[in-house]
Amino acid sequence: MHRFSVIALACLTACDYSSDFLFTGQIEGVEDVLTIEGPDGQYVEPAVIQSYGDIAANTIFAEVSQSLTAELGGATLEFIGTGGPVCIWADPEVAYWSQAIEADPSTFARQFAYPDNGFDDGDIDIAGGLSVFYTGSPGERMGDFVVFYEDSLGNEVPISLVECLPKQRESLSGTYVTAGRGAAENCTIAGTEVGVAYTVALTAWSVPLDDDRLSFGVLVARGECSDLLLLTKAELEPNRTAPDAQVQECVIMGESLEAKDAGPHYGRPDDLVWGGSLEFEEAFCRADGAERLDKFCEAEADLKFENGEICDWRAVTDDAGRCYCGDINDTPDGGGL
Amino acid sequence: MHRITLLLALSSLSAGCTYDEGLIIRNLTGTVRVSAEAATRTVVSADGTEVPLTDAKFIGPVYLGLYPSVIPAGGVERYSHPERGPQYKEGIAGDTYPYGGTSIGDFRFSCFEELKCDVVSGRFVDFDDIVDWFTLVGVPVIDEAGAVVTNGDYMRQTCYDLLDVNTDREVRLTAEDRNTDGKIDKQDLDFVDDGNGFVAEFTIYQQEFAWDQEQEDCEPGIDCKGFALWGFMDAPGPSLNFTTCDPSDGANSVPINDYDAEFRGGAPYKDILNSPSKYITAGDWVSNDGYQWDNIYDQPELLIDTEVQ
Repeated sequence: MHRFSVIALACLTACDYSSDFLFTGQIEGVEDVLTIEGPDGQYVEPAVIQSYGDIAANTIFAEVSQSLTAELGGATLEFIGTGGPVCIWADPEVAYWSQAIEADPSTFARQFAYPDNGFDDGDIDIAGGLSVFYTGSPGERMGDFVVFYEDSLGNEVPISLVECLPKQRESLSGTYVTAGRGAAENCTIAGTEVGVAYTVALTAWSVPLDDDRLSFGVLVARGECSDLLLLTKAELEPNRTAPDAQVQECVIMGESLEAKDAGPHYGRPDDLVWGGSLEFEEAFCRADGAERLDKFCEAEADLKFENGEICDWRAVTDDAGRCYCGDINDTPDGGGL
Repeated sequence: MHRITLLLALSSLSAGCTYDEGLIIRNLTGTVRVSAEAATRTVVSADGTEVPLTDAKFIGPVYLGLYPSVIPAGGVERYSHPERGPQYKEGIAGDTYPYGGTSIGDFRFSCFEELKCDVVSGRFVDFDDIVDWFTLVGVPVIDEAGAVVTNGDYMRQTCYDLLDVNTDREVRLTAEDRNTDGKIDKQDLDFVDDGNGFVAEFTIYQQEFAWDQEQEDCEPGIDCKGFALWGFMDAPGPSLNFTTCDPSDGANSVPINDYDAEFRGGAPYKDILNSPSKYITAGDWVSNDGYQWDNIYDQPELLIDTEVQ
């Protein structure tokens, strides 16, 4: 009898188990589920973009923290339909690639020969639709656009009423996937209804490990997202071999922000943008005149060495420790895979 | 005492192995009957006279879906149609949210671009049958060079070349000895003439049964009100093409890319069961009553019996 009591008590204590150590805890001044309002505290107004400079001026920059719960965090914003297409473009910090490790990489792969700093990248996924169908609570918890309909037999049918779900073709398998770590996403809601509220959910799938703060830029603009890409190409004249997935990184630039003010900032807060991040993004998207990415990384490493500085990949605090590229010593050698 | 504890522990573990998820999943089978009238067209004979011709080749793909219910003609459409879910966008009809379904006949890669979306599987005995049929109905098969195809072997070889295969089975356009009588003929097609119309068998594989959640005092899958089987036949258009075929899809998702042939083969649109009214046009045939499938062991015969006007 005593034995059973001991086992029962042991089971009860197990219920008191806390997994708090798995969470980073609250970061002062940074929300884990952020509500982005317009500058006037109202809806975000879809911007009219006529030049490349308009993009930076109308993009909202902000930071969210690691989620404080087991649910994903992120940010939401609302806008009013214009009667025409509205583009949602989001770019989480900063840019990510898989290192090309072959001994003699192709011309295309050569730019990725240096490793990325995988500790400074986060991932945001966009979903958008009519606010009336959004299941989350802005500022409280993220949601989706899945509602349930009960058919005449009384069976519940989940219906996704999302109208904006960016997908990219994954070339090898032919399947469609959402963009991953550090990659910009966009989607166009083709025909918004005039005067009707739309919600955009920016779900933070991963937060950079170096500071547990995910900075990002988000632009709500009238028209098609493809127009923003064309403006970017016209301005930066990227190498013709650069695929759109690379060039998209330069539509919104400077989203990697120092951990000082989580925003939201209306227009790019140049005083908060990490030094060198604009050059890094230009190298990534192969802008005309920019260094090739692997050369940028080599130069970054050389400069740190000359200045006697060390990259703080895992816990960046200042410009001296800020490195966009990874540690070349992490390159796997023969048999390393 | 120890023995009893051990037995209790073992019995509780073994009880877990008999957990019933409450799912009723089964291969559902039955037949579809298409009236002879639906398989009849007027063709111009060699002497220039118009004659009625009845043939299973006039039966396009038949789409079968399982729905919560079927709304009679004049309800949501001018013909009987499955119930729809809510409409949430102006000008776009609500989805029917089918539980499952299948088709009898499918669009396959037909080896000549001119035949794209014109050839349905299970309708032709062999390649000669295909070539002869299109000649008979006045739209002869044209190859990539613009020449009229008169020989089934030429079509077969073209298929083999483009698809990189070496058997008819891999081309999947022509019949096999389905009834195992030692010969391949009309009795091996999907639809067989039994003197009272054309009948085809169907199987809906691994279908989860859905029933009326409000009904009490009944056994699901046996006598509770179940889902409704409904279907329609996409009748061929004037040039023997079909509205349910997406010409930009098909060919196993890999475009055929030969030096003189670069096209996809066509495939059914992906939302035919969800939005049948998008594809049903005048001249197609629908099931007027559907079939309320209460007992999963039933093998119903669904009638495709009403022409859409």
